[in-house]
This record gives sequence, C-alpha cells and structure tokens, in this order.
Amino acid sequence: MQQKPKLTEAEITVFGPGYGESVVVHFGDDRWFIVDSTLGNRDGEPASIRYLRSLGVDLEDSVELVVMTHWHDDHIRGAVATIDACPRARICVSQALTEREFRKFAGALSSNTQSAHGSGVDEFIGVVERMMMAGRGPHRGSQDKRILSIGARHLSHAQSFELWTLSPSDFQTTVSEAKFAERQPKAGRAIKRAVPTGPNNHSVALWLVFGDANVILGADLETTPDPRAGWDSVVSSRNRPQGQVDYLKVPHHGSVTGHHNGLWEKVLEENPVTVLTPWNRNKGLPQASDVERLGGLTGRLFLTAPTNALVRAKHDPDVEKLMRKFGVKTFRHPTQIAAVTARRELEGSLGEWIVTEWEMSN
Amino acid sequence: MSATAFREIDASSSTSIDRVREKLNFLPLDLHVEELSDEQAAKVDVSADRFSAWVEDLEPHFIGVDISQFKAFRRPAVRSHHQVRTNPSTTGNVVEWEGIVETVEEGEFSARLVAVKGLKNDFDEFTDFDLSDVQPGDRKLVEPGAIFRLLIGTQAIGGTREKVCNVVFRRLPAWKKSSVHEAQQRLEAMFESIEWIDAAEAEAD
Repeated sequence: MQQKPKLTEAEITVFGPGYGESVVVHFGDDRWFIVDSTLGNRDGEPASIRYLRSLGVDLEDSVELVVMTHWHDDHIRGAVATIDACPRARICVSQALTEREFRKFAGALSSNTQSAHGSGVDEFIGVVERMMMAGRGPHRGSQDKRILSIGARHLSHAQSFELWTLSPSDFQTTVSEAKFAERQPKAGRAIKRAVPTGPNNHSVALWLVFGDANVILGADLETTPDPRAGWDSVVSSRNRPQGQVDYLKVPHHGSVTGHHNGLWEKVLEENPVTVLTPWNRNKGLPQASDVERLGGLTGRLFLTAPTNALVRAKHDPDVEKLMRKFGVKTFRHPTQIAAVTARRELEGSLGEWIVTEWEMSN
Repeated sequence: MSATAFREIDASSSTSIDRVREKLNFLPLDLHVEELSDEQAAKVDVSADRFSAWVEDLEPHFIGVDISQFKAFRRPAVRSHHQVRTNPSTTGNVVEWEGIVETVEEGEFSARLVAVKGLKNDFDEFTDFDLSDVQPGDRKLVEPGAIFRLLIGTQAIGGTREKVCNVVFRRLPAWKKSSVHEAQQRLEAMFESIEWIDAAEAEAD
C-alpha cells in the first residue's frame, strides 16, 4: 500500500502482530488517527508511523488522535514513539487507567529498576508524561463517549464523522479498580515485573461513524459474566450510535472470550468485513475453532497473519550449537509486519469496503 | 552469584555451607512468603556492597575451604551442567538472557527473554520451559512476573572446560515502602497536572 487514499475515501489498516496490534484510520481529507502500536523490533519505529511516512502523510498536521486501549507495555510498546511522532495529536486512554487504584499500582511498579525488561509500566508512564503537555487534550475513554465529531460540511466527502469510545463501562471501571487494588505490590515482598494477566475489560473499544456507515474496532474487550461490563454492556446500551456495523476489528484476537452472540445478531450487518490479528504466545489465538466459528458467521474474514507465526530466533553458530545440545529453542516475531487495509469511497453513495492484505518489509 | 547457585552447590556439599548461610542472614531467600515491615525490608535489601561481601564470603567454599575446620584444601568442584554460576568465571564464555515468566500451566512456563550478555539482539525471544528444567529449590519462585537468567556456554570449572546450561531464578530485593510511596506520589502529581477534555470538540454543522 504505497498510495494515499483519496481525500474522499475512508481507510482502516490493521497491523500485527509484531509486538502488539495497531490500527490507523483515515476519515477523509488526509485526516488520520492511530490506535495502539505495533513494533517489528524492540526499538524500531512503530508500524503505523512507518506506514504513514511511506504514504507521505504529514504526521504533525494530519494525525489528530492517538488512542491507547491498554496499559501494559507489551501491548502498547511504541506508544511514546507514536505520540512523539505526532506532536499535535490528542491522546485517549481508558478511564480505568486514570483512577486511583491504577495510579497507585502503576506508580508502585514504576519503582522497579531491577529488570532488563523494564518495569512493565514504563511505556504507560511515558504516555502520562505526554498527556501533561499542553495541546494533547487528553481524553478518558469510557462507555458511550463521543470524542471526535466532524460535521459533513467540514469534509470533502460530505459525510459526517464521529468517533465514540464504547468501553469501559462505569461498572467495569469499578471492577478494575478492585482488581488493581488486589495487585498492589506490597512492601517486603519480592519485586516482580508486571506481566499481562486477567481479562482485558478495561480496554477501549471504538465505534466509528462515517455518515451511514459504521465500524467497530473491538480492542481486547471480552465478554463478562456480569452484563454491566464487557460486550453485554456495549450491545445493550441505548446511548451508543445505533446503526448497523459492516466492519469489525475482531476483539481479543478472535478468542471465544471476546465473542458475543448479541454483537453478531443485533449490531453487525450480515456478512461484515472482519479483520483480526493473531496472538502468538502460549497456545496462540485464534484457535482453529475460533476461525471456524468466525468463518461460519461471515464470508469476509481476514487475518493479518497466520496463527503461531513466531519464527526461530537465530544466533551465532557457536551459540546455536550449544542451544541444540541443551535442547533450548527460542522464537521471535517475524521481521515483516503483516497488515490488512480496507478502503471505501465515501462521496456520494457509500461504496463497498475493498480489502487488501499486504506485508511491510523491515 | 545468586542464592539459587548457592543452594545448588549446597545440595552436593557439606553442612558447612549451612553455617555460611547462617552468617549471611540477610539473604533474601523467602521474601515472597510473608510481608515484612519497612525496617525488615531494609535489612534484607541486598545492596551492591552487601552482595559483594556475600560473594566474597561464599567464594572460598567453591574452591574447597572447609570453614568448619578453618582449613583450606583444593578439591575438584562437582558441578553438573545444571550448576553453573550466574556470575561466570572470567575464563568462561557464556551467553546470558534475562527472562520474565509470562504464564505457568501444566508443568510448563512460558517466558520472554532479552539477551543481556554475549549477544546483541534487537528483538525479544520467547520460549517455554518444563518446570523440571528449574532446580527444585527454585520452583516455588516460578510465577508470572518472576525474573530469571538463562545461561548457556562453556566455562572453566574445576580446571576443565564444560558446556553449561542453567535456568537460575533471581532472588530480587523486596519492594520498599518508601520507594513505592515516592513513585506513587510522583505519578499522582503527574496525573493531577493533566487537564482532561471529556467532551468532543465539535466541528459539527
């Protein structure tokens, strides 16, 4: 994808995996926003920034918002680089990550200087530092909140554009507070690094409105036993946009815990474009059963990359020889970040999403 | 040198090591078991100086000092490939990764690795280990967030070069109430200075 979309086209490009998953969205007239971050190498440039540069997008003027859906630096690694590359972009983080118990939790973890991997919250602390800067207009993403609203006469395709945050609900924020309180490091106990554990229900899922067309970017939001949180809460809400959705960034890498029947039955159009990024750790996501389930629900399912696409890490021959002797195998993310781009004409009658799968060489 | 290496060697050694351990009562062996006061935490916090002192005290044992008799003698060290020191000898050639335990299930754990010695990688590595790869005394330390070292290489041990591989869990210092509080206050102050915008800036018709 080396050409900018037309000023009247919408574009949604989903990257991943490398480290993490990210999305860039063009909503018309060379105006963009970015969700999360994907890196190919540990200290590389985020895929979204590389991509926008390759299109010739002026990052300073054209990127208006960066949304960070999740707190852990395994998920948002590259967030600071993304924000710094887009100096006029506003920042949005989950409401749950601005509440007292999370602030205490992250603050405490940030005092860990023992690990070469960092504290686990370094990237988030960097985002907070940027949110303190004038002009970053930080938003707290929560249920049914409109954070961008652009009237039709301001865009050359003559469709209005709105961006809503769908989660976390107030109830979920309270639940997350309790969870973070439980996980507070305690004086006297051995230092550990923060690692992602537990559900991701404080993630910020997004709803995009392009005139009459609707899109959901599902982040890592999952379905919860309590209907006041997770996808139950989103589907049953009367305060969110109410149109039918024909594009879904599948939540939580296609896992069964991210699935919600009501979303498919009541909110999504028949045969929507669905895009998901695999998660390559442990048993991997999506599982074969997840692909079968999603494939049964839509004929337009796109994976950015195969599941379990980790590749063997290569080392010096002497080291490899020793690793073989002791049966140690290590893996890494592929150096090429895969992506799925969907574009759609917005001027006049709305066109269909045209989907392209491609790879970004390192 | 970690407490883990100490324990491994202890298993094949005499009770004199126990006496060394008694002398070195600041070793952070069981910090995860019970919560300590700030004062207690300060006692067990291993500064660089105390760590060096511990290593110096321990080192003679590895070359065969029987401190129960206050008499030195040389003896070949008995170390398997599982018993490599985390601070390898200068004659050794060791590649070292720092690992973070991400998940633990069904007798295995998954880890993310960063090369810290002997390699110059710009990428993280991922691998799985059987719990049986970890020394029995370390297994209770295997939980999400735990930090360990993976060492692979050749070392001069007891006068002979051996190929070695080991997974060594680090006994990290404890969270200190004062440091935690200070870091929390710092982040709190940062949050207080943020001016949130909680409504859409409308460019509406």
